[in-house]
Amino acid sequence: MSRHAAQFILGEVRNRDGVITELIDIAELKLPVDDAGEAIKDPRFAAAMERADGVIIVSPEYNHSFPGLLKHVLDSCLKEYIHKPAGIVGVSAGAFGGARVIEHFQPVLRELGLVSIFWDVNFGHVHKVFDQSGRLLDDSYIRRTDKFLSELVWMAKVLRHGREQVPLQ
Amino acid sequence: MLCPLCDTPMNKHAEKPVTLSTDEIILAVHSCPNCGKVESEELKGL
Repeated sequence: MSRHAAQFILGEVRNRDGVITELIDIAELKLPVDDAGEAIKDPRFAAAMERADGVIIVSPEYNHSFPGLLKHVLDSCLKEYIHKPAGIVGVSAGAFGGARVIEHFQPVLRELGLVSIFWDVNFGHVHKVFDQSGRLLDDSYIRRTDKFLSELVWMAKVLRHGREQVPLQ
Repeated sequence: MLCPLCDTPMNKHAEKPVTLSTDEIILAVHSCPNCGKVESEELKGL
């Protein structure tokens, strides 16, 4: 069901003028698990993170937190993230819509150098939000996602200006 | 630092302490205002 949520968010981003995006499915990266961090950096993923002015993480909630494999992938880069905004989309079968996974991400985002935005999207009872084919069943998510994306795009513009034009004193 | 792709002077926008398995360093991060390239350099330890 997280794939349906990710595809929906991808479509909403692509509907925005002036925004270019791509979906990265971490299952397709196939990073090694006998090492970690920048030692296992995937050049395509790193290049995508370098190009990006902002990141949206769509994550299911496993045992009240994010999947270990997602942390493993995020840990493979660092300089590519610094001073870029990140928004989190939580997905869960229960009522909380990944609220706990979003909270658990905050210290991780900070240490990676990413800047957390203050809007989230919570897909609670996700099996009722999408049908088996991925069709959205609850139109309120269009409005919620619009607010989330507006915040993310604003942060992306401001932080890009800062990265490129405002020197660290 | 000059951008390795387009030779434009890069803007230093961050210094971040990083703990490696054998050392602690400061990573200075630079962005190119022309092409968006990101580069980093290791500064002296903490």
